[in-house]
Amino acid sequence: MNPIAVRALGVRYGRVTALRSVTLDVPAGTVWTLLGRNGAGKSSLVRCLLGQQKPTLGACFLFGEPSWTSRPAAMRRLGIVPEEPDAPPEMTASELSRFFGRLYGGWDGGAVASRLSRFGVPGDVPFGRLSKGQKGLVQLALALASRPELLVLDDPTLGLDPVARREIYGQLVAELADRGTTVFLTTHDLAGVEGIATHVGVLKDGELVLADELERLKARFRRITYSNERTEERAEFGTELDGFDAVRVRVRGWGVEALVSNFDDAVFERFRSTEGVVDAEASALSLEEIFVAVAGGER
Amino acid sequence: MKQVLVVAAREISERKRILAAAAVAGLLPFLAPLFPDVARGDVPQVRAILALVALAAFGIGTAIVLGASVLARDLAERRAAFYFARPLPSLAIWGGKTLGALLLAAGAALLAVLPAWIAAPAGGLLSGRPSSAAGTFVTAGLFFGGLLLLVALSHAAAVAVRSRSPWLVVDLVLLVVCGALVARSALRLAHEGYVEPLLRAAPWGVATLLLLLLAAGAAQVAAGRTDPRRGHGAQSLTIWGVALPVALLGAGFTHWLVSPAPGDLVRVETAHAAPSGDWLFVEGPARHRGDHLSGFLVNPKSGSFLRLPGAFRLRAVEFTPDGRRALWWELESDRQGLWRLWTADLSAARPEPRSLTVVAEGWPTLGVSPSGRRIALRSGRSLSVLELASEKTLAAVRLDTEAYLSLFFENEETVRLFVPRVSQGDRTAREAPLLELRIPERKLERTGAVPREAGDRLEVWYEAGGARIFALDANRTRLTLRDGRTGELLGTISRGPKISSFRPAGGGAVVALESAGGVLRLHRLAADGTGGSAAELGAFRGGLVYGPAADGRLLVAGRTGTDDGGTRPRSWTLLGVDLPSGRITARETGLGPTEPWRWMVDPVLAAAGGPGAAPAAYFLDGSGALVLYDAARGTRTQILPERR
Repeated sequence: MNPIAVRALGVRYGRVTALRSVTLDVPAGTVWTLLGRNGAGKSSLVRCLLGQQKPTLGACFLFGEPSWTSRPAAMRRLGIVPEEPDAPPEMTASELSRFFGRLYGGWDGGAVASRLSRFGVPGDVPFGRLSKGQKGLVQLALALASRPELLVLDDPTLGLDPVARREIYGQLVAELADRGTTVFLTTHDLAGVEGIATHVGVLKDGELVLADELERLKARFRRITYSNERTEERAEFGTELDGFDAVRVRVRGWGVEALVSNFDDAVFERFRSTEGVVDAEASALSLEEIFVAVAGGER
Repeated sequence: MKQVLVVAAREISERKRILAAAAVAGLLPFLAPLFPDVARGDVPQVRAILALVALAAFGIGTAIVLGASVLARDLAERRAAFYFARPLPSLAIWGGKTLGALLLAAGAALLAVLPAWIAAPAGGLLSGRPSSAAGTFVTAGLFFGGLLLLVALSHAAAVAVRSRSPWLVVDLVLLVVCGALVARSALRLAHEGYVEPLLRAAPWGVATLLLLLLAAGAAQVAAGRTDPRRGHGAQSLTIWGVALPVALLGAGFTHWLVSPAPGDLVRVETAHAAPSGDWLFVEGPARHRGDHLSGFLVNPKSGSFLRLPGAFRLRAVEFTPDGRRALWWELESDRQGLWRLWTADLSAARPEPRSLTVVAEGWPTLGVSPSGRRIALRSGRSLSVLELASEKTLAAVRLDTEAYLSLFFENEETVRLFVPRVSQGDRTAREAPLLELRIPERKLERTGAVPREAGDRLEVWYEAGGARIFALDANRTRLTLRDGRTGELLGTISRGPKISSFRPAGGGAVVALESAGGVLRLHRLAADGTGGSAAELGAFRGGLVYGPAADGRLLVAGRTGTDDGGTRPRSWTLLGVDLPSGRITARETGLGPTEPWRWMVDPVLAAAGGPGAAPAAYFLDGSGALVLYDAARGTRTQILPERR
C-alpha cells in the first residue's frame, strides 16, 4: 500500500480549474518531488492530500484511506512543513513542542530541542520574531518529532537563504538514512532536490504532465545537437528528428539543438547515420532543464 | 474531549492578556471617590455601576471580538492549517476554539466585576442577586448562554464577511427574509393576544438559534476546513437550511393560529346580536388554539364573517341601531393603555375593518347616533362627537367629572349622558346627574338628576327615544318613571317585591319580573303603578325578559341557580309567554343567556315591538354552542359551532 495515492483529482475554484484529473502514486521510502510553476496547482494538491480541502472531483488517499474522511488518523502518521509558516506568532518553539506533545502519541520533545540546538534556532523566542529560515527549521523539527512515516513538505525552502536550505535538505537526508521515511515534496528549488529526489512529477496548468523516477527521467530526457548539410530551408530544420519525441527544438547559427523525452541509444545511432546529419551529439540534462523544457511552455 | 480542552487551553494561553486587562479594569471602580461631583454617600453606588459597566464591556466585548477572530481570522490569514495539520477532528477544533472564547469572555467579565463585588456590602452590588441554588443556576445559564450566543453569532458574521464568497448575498437576502418573517409572525401573535405563549416560546427560540449557530459553526469547520468559501457555504446551508423552513413554518403556523374561522369555534363564551339585521358578535376558544379567545362578527344567514383581534385587545363591540355597521375598540398600545376605534361596514359584500383616527385612553365610552352617521365618545374628561365617514369633529367639550358616564344619542343633535349606577360608597352617592350635549351649540349642561331616595343603590335606564327614565332603587324594589331631561318623578311603577329584570311595554308601562318567596312572577305595570296582567312563572330565583314583541309575546329566562352573572345553562329555563293572556306558550331547558348582565349596561332599553324586542334571542347550551331560541315558534337553531 502506497503512503500516497491520488486518483483523478480535480479542483475548481468557480470557473477556474486548478487541477484536472491528476493521478499519482508515491511508493513507500521514496522522495517524491512535485514540480510546477506558480499557479500550476501544487498547493491545491497538497491541501487536498492533507484533507484540508475537499476535491471537486476524485480523491486522495493517505495510507490507503481517503484523506478527507480520515484526516485526524492520517495526521498521526504524518509530518508536515507548510509553505507559509502558520504557527501562532506568540508561541515559542518550546511551547509549540509542548502543545504538539499533547496531541501526538509518540512525541519526542527532546529531539525537537536537539535539532533546534543543532540548527542554532532559539527555543524561547516567539515564533513570530524568528527569521523565515528559522521558522522553516522550527517547522521541520516539529514535523520530524512525531517520527512520521510520511513527510509532506510544501515548498519548504521558499525564500530561504542557501544555508538554511542546505540544513533542511541535510536533515531530510539524515532522516531518510535513519528511518526510510517517505517524503512528498513540492518545490521550486530544483538544484536542491536533485540530490535527494527519487521520483519527480511536473504539474502544468493543473495537469500532471510528467511523473517518473528521476534516474529514468534523466535517461530519457537528452539534449541532441547537430548540423544538417543538406537542408537549406531553415523551416525544414528538425524534421530529421522524427524518431524522437522532441519537447523543444531550437535552430541556432551553428545548427540545431533539440531536447527529447524518449532518448534511446539505438535510435540515436540511426539518427547519426542519417544523410546530411553531421556532428550529432547527445548530452544529459539537469532536472532544472528538464523542468523548464516540460513546464516552460516553449517548444 | 481531551483534544477540545487542549485546543481551548491554547486559545486561552494565546489571549491571556485579555484576562490581565480585565483584572486591571476591575480595579477602576475603586477610583470612584476621586471622581468630581461624586458625593461620599454615592461612592458605593457609583462603584457598583462602574463594575457592572466593566462586566458588560468585557463580557460582551470579549465574546464578540473573540467570536469574530478565533477561527475567521485564522482562515482569512491562512493560518487555519495549523490545526488541521494535526490529529485533531474538526469538531474538536471548533469546540476547543469556541470553549476557549467562551471561557475567556466569561473570565474577563468576572474579573472585571470581582473586586467591586467582593468589596461591596451584602446585596450592595447586585441587590437582585439570586439567593437560591436554582436562581444561581439560571443566572449562570443566562450568563454563559448569552456569551456563547454572542461568540457563535459573531463567528458566523465574521466568516460570512471575511470569506468574500457569493454566499454573503444569500446570507443578506435570507437574513432579511427570515427576519421579516419572524418579526411579522411575532407582531401578529402579539397583536392577536398570544403574548404569553410568545414570551414562553422566546427562550426556546433563542436556545434554538444558539444551537443552530453552533451547528453551523461546526459544519463550517468540518466541511470548509481551510477553505473559507466552502466553509461559508456550509455555514450558510446549515443556518438557512433550518432557519428558512422554520421561519416559513412559523409564519404559516402563525397565520393558521391567528386566522380561525367562526366554524373553528369549539364553543361560544360571549355573544350579542345587533339591534337590527342578522349580524352578531361572538367570542370563544377556537379549535387547537388553547384557551385563547377568538372574536368574530358573524352573519349566520349569509355565512359572512369578520375576524376581530384577540380578546385581550378587543373591547366593546357596538352596532349601529340599523345593524349595518359595527364599531369596536382595539388596544393600540398596551404600555400606554391606548385604544383605537375601528369600524366595519357590515352591508358590504366583504366587510373590511377600517381604523379610525380616534384614539382614547382608559375606558372610553361610545355612543352611536340613530342614523349611524355620528358617534359620541367619552375618554377621561373629554367628550367628543364625530362624523363617522369624515371623522370630522362636530363638538368637543370638557367634563367636570371623572365618574363613569353612560351616553346615547337622543337624536342626531342631542347626546345625553348620565351616571347609570349610584352606590352608597360613591362620591355622588345621593343622585345620578343628567347631562345634555347640544351638538350644534357645542354646549354641555346639567339638566337635572335622579335622586337615590332609598336603599344602597340606584340604577338608571333611558326608555328608547330618551324622553323618560326608568330608575330602580330601594334595593331593586322600587321602580319609578322620570323625566328624561330633568329627572323629575312622573310616577311610581312598582313598589313591592324585588325586580330582577324589566322591559318597556310602551307608554311608560313595563313588563317586570318580580321574585318573592322563591317564585317568579311576570307583571305588566302601567306608568302610574296600576297593575295589569300577571303570570306566575314558577320557582325561580330571578330572570331576564326578552321582548315583548308587538303582539305581546315575550321570552323569559328563569334562573334557578344563585349566581347572578352565571351563564350555566342548567341554571336556566326559557319560557315563551303570551303577555295578554299570561299563558306560558313554550318551555325550553338547557339554554342560558349569552350575556346576562348586558341589559343592565345598555343605556337605553329597547321599546316594545321595536328592534331588539322579540321573543327570540341567542343562548348558549351546555356544550357552549350558540343557539337561537324562538319562543314564538318554540324552535332552537344551533348557530355556532357549526354542526358537522
